[in-house]
Amino acid sequence: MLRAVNLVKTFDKNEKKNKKITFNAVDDISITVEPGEIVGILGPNGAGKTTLLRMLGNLMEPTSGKVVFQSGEVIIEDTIEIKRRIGYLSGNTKLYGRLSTRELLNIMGEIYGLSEEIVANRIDDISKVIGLEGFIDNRIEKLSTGQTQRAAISRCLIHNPDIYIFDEPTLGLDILSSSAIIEFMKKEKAKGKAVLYSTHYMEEAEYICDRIIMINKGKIIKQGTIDELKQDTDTHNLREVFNALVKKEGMENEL
Amino acid sequence: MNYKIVKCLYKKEILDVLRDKKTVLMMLVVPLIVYPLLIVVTMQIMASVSTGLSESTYTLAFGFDDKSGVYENIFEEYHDEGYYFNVVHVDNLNEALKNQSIDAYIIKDDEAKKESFKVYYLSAVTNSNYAASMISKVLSDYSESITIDIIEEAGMSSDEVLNPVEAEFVDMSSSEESAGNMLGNLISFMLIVSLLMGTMYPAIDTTAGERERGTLETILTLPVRNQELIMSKFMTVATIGVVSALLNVISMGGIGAYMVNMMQSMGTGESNVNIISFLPAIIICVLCIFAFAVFISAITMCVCAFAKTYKEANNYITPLMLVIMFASFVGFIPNVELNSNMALVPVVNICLLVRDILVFKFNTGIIAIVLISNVAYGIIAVMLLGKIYNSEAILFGDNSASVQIFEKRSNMKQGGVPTLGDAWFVVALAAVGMIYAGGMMQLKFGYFGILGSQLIFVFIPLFIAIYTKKNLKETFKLRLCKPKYFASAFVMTVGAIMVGMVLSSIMSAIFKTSAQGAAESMDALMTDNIFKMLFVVALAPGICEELMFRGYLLSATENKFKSQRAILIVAVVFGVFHMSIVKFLTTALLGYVFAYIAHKSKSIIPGMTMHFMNNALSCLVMVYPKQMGEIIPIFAAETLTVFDFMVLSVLGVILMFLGRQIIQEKEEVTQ
Repeated sequence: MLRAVNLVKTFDKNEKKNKKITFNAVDDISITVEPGEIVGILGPNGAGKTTLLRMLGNLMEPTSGKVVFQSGEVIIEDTIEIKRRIGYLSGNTKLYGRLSTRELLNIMGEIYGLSEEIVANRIDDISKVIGLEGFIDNRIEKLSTGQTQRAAISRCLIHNPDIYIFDEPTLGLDILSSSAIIEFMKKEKAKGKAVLYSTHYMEEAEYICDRIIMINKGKIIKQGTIDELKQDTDTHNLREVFNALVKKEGMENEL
Repeated sequence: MNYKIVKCLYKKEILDVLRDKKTVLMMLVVPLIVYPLLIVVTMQIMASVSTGLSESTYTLAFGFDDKSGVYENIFEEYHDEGYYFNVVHVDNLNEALKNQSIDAYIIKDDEAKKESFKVYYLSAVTNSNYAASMISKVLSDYSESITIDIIEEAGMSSDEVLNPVEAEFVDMSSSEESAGNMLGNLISFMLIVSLLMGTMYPAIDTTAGERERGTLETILTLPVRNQELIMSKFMTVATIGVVSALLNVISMGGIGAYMVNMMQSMGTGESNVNIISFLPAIIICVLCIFAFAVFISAITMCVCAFAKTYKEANNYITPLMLVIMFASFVGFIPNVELNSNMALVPVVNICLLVRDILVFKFNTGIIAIVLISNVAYGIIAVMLLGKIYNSEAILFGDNSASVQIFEKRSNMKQGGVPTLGDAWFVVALAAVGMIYAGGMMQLKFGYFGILGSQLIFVFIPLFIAIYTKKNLKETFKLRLCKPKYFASAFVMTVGAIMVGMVLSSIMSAIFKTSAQGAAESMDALMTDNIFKMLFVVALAPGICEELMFRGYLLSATENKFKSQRAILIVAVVFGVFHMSIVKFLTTALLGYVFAYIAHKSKSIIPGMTMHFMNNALSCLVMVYPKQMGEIIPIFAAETLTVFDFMVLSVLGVILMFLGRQIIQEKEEVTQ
């Protein structure tokens, strides 16, 4: 469905005085996400997860490589058209504080080119699924963290996308809010949607992901189903898999 | 660009901005409540102060023996317009004056032939000041009464002797005109300041504010293109600017019209200002507001787009505000006329136009130039904004920001040539410097003041190049080159001068008023001393302008663009800097030739030589038209014939082509 081919993103970094070095935040990564699966992107801080997701979501132009959307015979390469099919939730999503959730959803719907009627129906549906009742007409700046996150997710649903890309959607949320989000992802998966998401919570990833892609220093270090990963590293759970792989990487680097 | 999306984003931005208290405060509360209130309060305070003064009694002491009380009588009996004097006796006059127990004292010189007084007062104390001027009035009345007595004693009519000539002045300008004159300065200033104030907050809010709040990433996840985003933001800022300027001008205009009406009805007993006759002026004012809103919104947004936070944006915008406010004061200078050159100077042009139309001076050509130039500058600025506000670089903190000057100095790399962003910054600074500081220097120092704007062209790029630790030799192309480049430069320049003559006469025919303006500004360069003129008009520009345009700017554009484009940009900017429609094509063409040579030879020297040669030639033609005409007859021609046109353009193009060949052929050989 969504295919990334040889993505590379190069940044300039100011090291000491008068010294500028370039480094690849994402270094030659290829990924495919298929309908009806939840793919987890795991990796330590600074591994390149967010940069990778931003390129997949077409927020950021890759230095080289490309992102393609494919549905049956149809192949789309135009970034704007791909964006129409993606619901992207950024890491520290900020919404327009001075608008209410309903106003925000209305405007977003209009930008996607939906009619007023459809938007109104979608808002009703989303409100039930995500649980926006009670605060949908309040200004966003007045909402709690959990409510804000729900408003942010509802924004990604308004155009009924085929693929969700969520960057750490459960970070900093309480158990109730985060399990609502996890349940939502499972439901969407059952509808045949694809979900690609990054997280630091290993137990959560183990609970819902069909496939895991582990990255470190801009490269994929391991990918496969959770069972495959456990077998390959001879461990019992994802936390141990992660530790084993990341530590191994670190030691190789030091040698 | 998808206009539906622009419309939608615009709706969102407007909603968002209107819910920001600061914007609403600036836009609505200030013009509609604060100004009228301020004016009412000021008027009341002024009224109460002046009534307070009119009942003043001044305390006075004499430093001489007023035996029969003659002078005491003169002062105490005097009560014109409610001013009274109270004469007291004091021992220590100086001390009494210092501690303000008296307002002034008078000493009489008894030894003088005529009655001679000395009045001591304190200019720093308001009451003492008024007392002094009243004393002067009393004494002059006293003197006049003595004069009248002497004349009448001699049997003559005192009126005929004292006022042998009489004149009465009758104001024939309509009351609308005099009202317009009173309001003109005020309204043009208000218009500019209120637009600036009105656009400032939304400009910061939609650019740096959005960046700081982190909502830009949300927008980027939507199927929205960068141009659509910028267009919607620009429209939002311009809308808020227009609304707040309209409200301000209506409010100020209303108050002003009310005051004028009051003053006139007090003067003549009736008010006869016809508001309807102001209608055309009002319509043009509104057009000015729209045109200026386009310009000022784009400019403020450009400045704000560099900032990462609200606070930073505020810091950047303050100098801009000062410059614009300073420029808007030009409207208050009485002798500055709106001509076709002034019509191209941003801010000043709007100011002068509003001032002119309020006294019913309509010049359609100039109005068009002012409006179009503002919109054109606005469009250029929006395009620039598109470059600066490249969402990805802004959002994800791409540190290689193209404007290096705003980076920490310790992070700057040593050597290399300037970035394009820095070059634009230098160009903008130089433009501001040339228009405002250059003009001031010309006013103050006269002929040599012209050098002022030239020095700006050297110091600004030099300072920034040093500050950003650039390689000066490379940046300003300070190296020698082979003689073939001089040969090529010479041939190409001669060709360009020929083609330039054709171009400028075509342009003069199209833009007649502008041609007049250009001729006037040329006359300003004229002086009898040919050496002085060659120094100021030929040598200084040859060095300074070359360093700026073919040095700094060209190095930056070469670094970023392909050669043709880099040269073309330098040529266009150079043309624009001459601030004359008529001269634009000619100067741009010469700029192109100089830039081409500088690019090929990697040296600024052939360009400098040719620039000097070109300017020196026109100096000579201006000072010695006859002699120059004898040598080269075409310089003497008033207008060009069709034959001249053809010869000049064909020959010119051929020479330019040949000049180009000189370098290119040799290059092939060396390869």
